[in-house]
Amino acid sequence: MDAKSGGSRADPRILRETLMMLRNLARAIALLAMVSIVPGWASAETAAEFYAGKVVKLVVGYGPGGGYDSYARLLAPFLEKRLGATVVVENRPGGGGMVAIGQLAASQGDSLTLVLANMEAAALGQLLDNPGIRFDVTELSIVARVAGERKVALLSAESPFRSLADLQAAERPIKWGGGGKTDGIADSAAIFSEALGLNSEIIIGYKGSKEVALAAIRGEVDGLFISAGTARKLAAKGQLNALAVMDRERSPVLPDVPTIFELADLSPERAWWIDFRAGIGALGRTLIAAPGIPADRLAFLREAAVQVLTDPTVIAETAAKKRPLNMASHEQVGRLIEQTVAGLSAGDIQRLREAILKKYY
Amino acid sequence: MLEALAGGIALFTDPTVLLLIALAVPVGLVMGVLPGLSGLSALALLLPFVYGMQPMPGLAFLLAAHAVVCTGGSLTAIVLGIPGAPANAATVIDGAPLRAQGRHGEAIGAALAASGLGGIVGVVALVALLPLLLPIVKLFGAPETFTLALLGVICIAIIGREDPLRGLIAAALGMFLATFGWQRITGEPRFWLDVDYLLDGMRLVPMVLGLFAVPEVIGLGVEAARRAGNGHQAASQAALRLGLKAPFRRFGLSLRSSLIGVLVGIVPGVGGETAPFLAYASAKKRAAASEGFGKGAIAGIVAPECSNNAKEGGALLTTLALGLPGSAGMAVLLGGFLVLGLEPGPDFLDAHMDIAIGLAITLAFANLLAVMVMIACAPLMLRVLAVPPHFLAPAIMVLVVIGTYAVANQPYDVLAVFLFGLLGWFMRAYGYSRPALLLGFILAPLIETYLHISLRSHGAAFLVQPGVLAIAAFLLVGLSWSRFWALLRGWRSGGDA
Repeated sequence: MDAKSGGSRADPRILRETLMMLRNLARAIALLAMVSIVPGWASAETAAEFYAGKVVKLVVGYGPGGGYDSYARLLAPFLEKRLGATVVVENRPGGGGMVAIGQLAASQGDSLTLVLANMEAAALGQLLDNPGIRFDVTELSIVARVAGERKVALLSAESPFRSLADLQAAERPIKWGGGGKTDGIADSAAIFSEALGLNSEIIIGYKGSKEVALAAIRGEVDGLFISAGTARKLAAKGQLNALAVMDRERSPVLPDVPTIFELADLSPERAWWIDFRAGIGALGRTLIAAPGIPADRLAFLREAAVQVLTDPTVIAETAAKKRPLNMASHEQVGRLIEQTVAGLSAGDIQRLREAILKKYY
Repeated sequence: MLEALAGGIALFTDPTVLLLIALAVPVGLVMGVLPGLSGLSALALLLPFVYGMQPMPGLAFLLAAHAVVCTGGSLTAIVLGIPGAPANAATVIDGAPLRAQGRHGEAIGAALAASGLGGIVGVVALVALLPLLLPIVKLFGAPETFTLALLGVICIAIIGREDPLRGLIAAALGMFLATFGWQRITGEPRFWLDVDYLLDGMRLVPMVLGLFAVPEVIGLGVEAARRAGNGHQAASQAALRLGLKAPFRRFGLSLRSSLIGVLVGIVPGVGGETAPFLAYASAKKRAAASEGFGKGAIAGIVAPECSNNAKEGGALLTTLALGLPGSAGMAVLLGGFLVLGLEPGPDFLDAHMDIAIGLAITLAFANLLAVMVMIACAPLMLRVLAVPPHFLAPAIMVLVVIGTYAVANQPYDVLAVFLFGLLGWFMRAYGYSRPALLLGFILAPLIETYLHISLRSHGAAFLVQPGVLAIAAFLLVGLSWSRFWALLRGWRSGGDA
């Protein structure tokens, strides 16, 4: 051992030669990289030609087996056909799905990566200035929305509150369940309470929507807010009852459940809260690309995504897997972002923060 | 019910299903044997293959691989002193001393038989409890889960070999490490130092491998000379057979440990890694000092290995009947159900009782198959011990690094392994219990969260909920039983004299 380390110390020439060799190697790699990029500049290839035979990464910000992963794996083979590229699904969990979006936002001009993003959480996180949000949703390249679901209020069969009137006349604070303050469940409860002036208390810490639902079934909390598809299944057994849809329109999966606007006469001031949350919710699961990618390639990606998401075979397959699909074009998503994120005044954001982060805890 | 049973058997005996189970079991075993890769890795690896399969073959494929990981992991825990999967961490406590005494053949036999037995008890409990599940889970609200987690921490003091104080210090350190990253309730990140990696807190796999594997690898290098003289002959068939009988000769212990596993598996939210520690602590508490827990007791292998396979039965129960995953692995399995177009939950059992029965049979069969495969392979794998330590140590280190990296393709995880490795080395050198740190780490978030929920939803009155009182009474009896028993016996013999 000693002899070996002593030997290398005694001979600086070897070190110098090694360094030189490394430098040459680095030069060669740089040259190779340039050569491989040049044809992209030189020939005026179309976007379709660009994608042909390439590998496109479809990144999911969550682990395997979840909703985002299932959607991505379902869509990948169809995108593959439309793009003419190999589409590989990659799970990059972290920061509640936000790390993957942050990495995409930082990879300016990368045409070969798509993220199936939780835009609902991303937009809300940005508005509330959550730590770990390293992107601006208004700067991301929107490809198309895959699915967005309305939120439904469910009340526990164990709870004394049965109707909106009961809630409004509550003598003790109404207990709503949630996972974290901005997880879509708890913030919906906060906004609903704010819009209707309810005496609410939100209990968070449950792991995911299923555990919140179980807490409601047990009567540990009075109710919860959840996406329509899940609400339909939970309400089917009679342990939880659907109260209202948090939107101006009813949900196609729960056609018998009235909207909150049908149940209560809301002043514009109060309606603003519901409209805001519905808008955020409509951002849903959206396919996005890196900022600054060439316009023709983005157009090609959008075209392919729209074709896939409106393809009857895809719709039939997602329906069979009980994954709702409702495509929204990049223009529609852009408008939603404009209204719910970019269009808010500093005062609006202040009120949102107060209501979502403080008031009911 | 009979119809469902017949349907389940018919689904299970389909040749495709049997073939897929036979393919999946070795995958699960290899994942178990390799440190770092666990049931979660097995599922994540196999999940993409089930797209397009029929529900029963797809689910049997996933479940079989996931269920047998702890069976494979027990081998690594005994042979190398490294938990093959996090749920094998408790097996190391007595596994390593047994190997040092040259009783690894017996220990492996005991671990394998215990795994098989635990798996079967888990399945029996699964089938028996299927109709009763909803009331059981309804019993376990936030206050009960909090009390159960607290019980786990109190067990830490028992696990700590001789010195409960050092056990508690280690547990406290584990609880501190658990506070890194997002606070589940306030949404505030703690101690993240503006590093995105820390937002998600410390990761379990780098911690387990760092604490248990790295010190072992260093030890291999340092103790090379000493071990060479020890002579690690391959385990004789006789020793293996002796070990295989051990769980049956301690049937009460095996049954009790398995039931602890089932219960922990059923309760949503309590990680499956807790079950083996609870089983170990319970076994140690009831055992006489002559059993030598912590110094190479066969019972110290049987208890955790029964419980870590049995917990899958419990976890599958909650997953099937409520759609609530009882463990991280089950969460991925649940994803597999959805991928195949099935939705576990209360109505799932009404519509697909045959699939539920088929899966229960699959679980039992996979456990038995795994034991047989492992018995066949054990002599081969034991030759690893004959490899000179200076070759073995770097090879294990490579496996550890790859295993860690493969979990999330996260380079920081590899860095974390080395940092935890340093910590583990110091802890080992100064006699601080590493399992205690691990259990503190796993249980701290549960204690924090469910205490908060309990206080918010019930106020201080949650302390007098019937479930809480029952668990507290159980705890008190459990802790004082051996002393009480000794007192009683002393009293009686005193009376005789």
